[in-house]
Amino acid sequence: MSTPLPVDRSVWVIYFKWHFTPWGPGAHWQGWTGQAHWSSRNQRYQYAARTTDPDRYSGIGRRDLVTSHYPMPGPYDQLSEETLRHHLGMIRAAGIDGLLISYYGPDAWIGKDGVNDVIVDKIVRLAPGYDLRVGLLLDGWPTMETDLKAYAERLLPFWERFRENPTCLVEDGRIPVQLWAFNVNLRYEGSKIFLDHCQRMGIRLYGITGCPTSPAEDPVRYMSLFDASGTYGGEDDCGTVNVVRFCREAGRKVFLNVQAGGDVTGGEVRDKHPYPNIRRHKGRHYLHRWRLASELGADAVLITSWNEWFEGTEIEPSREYGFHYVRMTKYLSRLFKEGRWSEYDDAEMEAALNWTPEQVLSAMR
Amino acid sequence: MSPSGELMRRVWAIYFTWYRRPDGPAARWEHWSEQQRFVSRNGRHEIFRRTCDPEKFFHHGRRDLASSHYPLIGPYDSADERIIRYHLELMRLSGIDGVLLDWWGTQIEGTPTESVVRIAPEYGIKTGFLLDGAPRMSTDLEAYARRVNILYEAFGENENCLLEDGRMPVLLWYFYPGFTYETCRRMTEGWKSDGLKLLTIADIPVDPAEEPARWAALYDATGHYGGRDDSGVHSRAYWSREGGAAYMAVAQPGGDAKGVQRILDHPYANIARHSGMHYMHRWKMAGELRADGVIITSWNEWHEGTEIEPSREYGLFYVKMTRYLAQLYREGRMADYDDAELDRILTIPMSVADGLI
Repeated sequence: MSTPLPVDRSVWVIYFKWHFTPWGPGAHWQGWTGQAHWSSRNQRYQYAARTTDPDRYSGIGRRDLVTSHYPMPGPYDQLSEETLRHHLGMIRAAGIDGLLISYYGPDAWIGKDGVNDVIVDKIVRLAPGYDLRVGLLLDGWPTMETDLKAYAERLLPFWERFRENPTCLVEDGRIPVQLWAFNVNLRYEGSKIFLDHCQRMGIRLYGITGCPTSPAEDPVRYMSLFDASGTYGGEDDCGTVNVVRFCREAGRKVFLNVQAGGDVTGGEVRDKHPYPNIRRHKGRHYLHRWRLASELGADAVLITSWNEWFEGTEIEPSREYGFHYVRMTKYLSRLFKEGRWSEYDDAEMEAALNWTPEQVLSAMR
Repeated sequence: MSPSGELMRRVWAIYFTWYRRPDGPAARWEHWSEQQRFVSRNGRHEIFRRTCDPEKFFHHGRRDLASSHYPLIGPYDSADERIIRYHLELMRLSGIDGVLLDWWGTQIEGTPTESVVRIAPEYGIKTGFLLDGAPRMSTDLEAYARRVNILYEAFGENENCLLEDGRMPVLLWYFYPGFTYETCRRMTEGWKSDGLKLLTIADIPVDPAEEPARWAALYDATGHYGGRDDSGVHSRAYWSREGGAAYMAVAQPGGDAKGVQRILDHPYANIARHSGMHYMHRWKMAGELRADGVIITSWNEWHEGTEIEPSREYGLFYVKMTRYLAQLYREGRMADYDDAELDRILTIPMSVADGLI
């Protein structure tokens, strides 16, 4: 891993790092307990929080987690190197090339004392051992009222630490960053201000963001600000087709979003939330998105998500879905990377999904 | 010896060996492809058939099987000795003591039935039988009774098919309500007079008007195939003991036959699993009613979706639950049930998960 990764035919996954347990190095419940979340009332998103108590059991062998699904290895602690190694190994085995780590800034969300960066640093240090690349999802909810200079400064620590680390670089040496909610909230003007700040700080960004789908928003002009489109999730098929068309017109790449589904009934009241309200249909939704990625000639694939357990978009193994989605990903990512989608074969998919008797017994012993 | 002594705290699973696939020893699809099923119309069960084609895929990576759920190892061939060994080992790890082999009274030689009886001792699994079929008063009763004689002639001296006092356990399916009391009495007495040493298990009515205790006295134990009725469970336990029979509880995870049939009032193939709560409830009842044994319906009745065998839908959830619950039940410690302990058992550790993709 001595050179930056070209993005063509690469597969990325959104990775969240906010889970701690009392018995892990984090030493307290974090991320499995109460969680503020979006809910929609009268078309306006509002926060709705549900507080859970993972020390109690709410079902059959199930802790009261703020999730709809239950992690196969149980709730885990991401300050633990064992956890990170397990995740990186599974992600690599699924044929994924890189992680975009959800990042709110050094001191945000999961506490002070640089815990965010401690986990990011660990992942960056371990990733080469699994032939994985690391970028960021700049998470948050920026608006035109946000101090966009300060918002851009959130990226500085990462850039300064890893600007010469090929693990964190793509194309001609830029850090891949997905910029969440930019097209919805900042639009062209706000996005340009943010990117200008990055440029003045010397941050060489490979910017990925959602592309507007309405011609009235001049998507071609908007995408010319960035390097690639890449939505977080919930994209409808019509929108996807438009995104590809606009990006081609703008001469930009397409990171096509594939999402397994979404379900936030475990953590919030929800109505019209854009991505946690998508039925999985036993994998058909996921398969469909991969098929679109191939048929529309996407340059890269962005999977939502590895472990967004609150919104139930995870592909990480769970009690509900077992290893179904990581095994699907293993097969589908290979077809995508090799440009062989037309050779998709249900019998091969079945073979990928079936366990061997030895695997069942090993999981039982 | 009292029948309850024989059954004491044993856990049995109903095991079907009727599945075939073209690359297995039988060289054909069977049962994964089609299945006669009962549907209920206006209170009457009728046979309904759906034909599936497992050579075709109707869903990503899913063959068109006659089942609602998909086996985690894919459709298998019950005649394949590797599959039999896999099942028996998995049952052993799940805390199951014995299998009740589904038996339709045809050929024994060269069948999976014979193989299971031969191999099961290597895994410490006892073998009994489920006399399957849909007996009616119009059935040729002599031929029907003869099915048990065929079994006994084959396995009546096989130690693995006998309990400690030398009796062979046979669950008599649908004797109630399929037969009259008098017919059941003649059959059970007929086997005795033929010298068959059986431990008979059968269902009984629960309505006092039908004299359940008198029915229970016909058998060594009562036990039924499945269903959701808690009141019936209490009554069965009560009347069994009144009739001097042991009581075997049924633990069923749920039932779902949508894959093969249209169901209305199917007694056991239309029960929601509720994330394992139904199964747990039945085990708890087994403990509270001090059942003399537990029958799990089923290991692998895929058509009716009652299986605990690992599936794509439920993973290893039910075999792992069974391991924990069977241990509590056997040790008479159902009251010690601990969610944290079950959580630990259901968890697949990271080190193991690493090898599973």
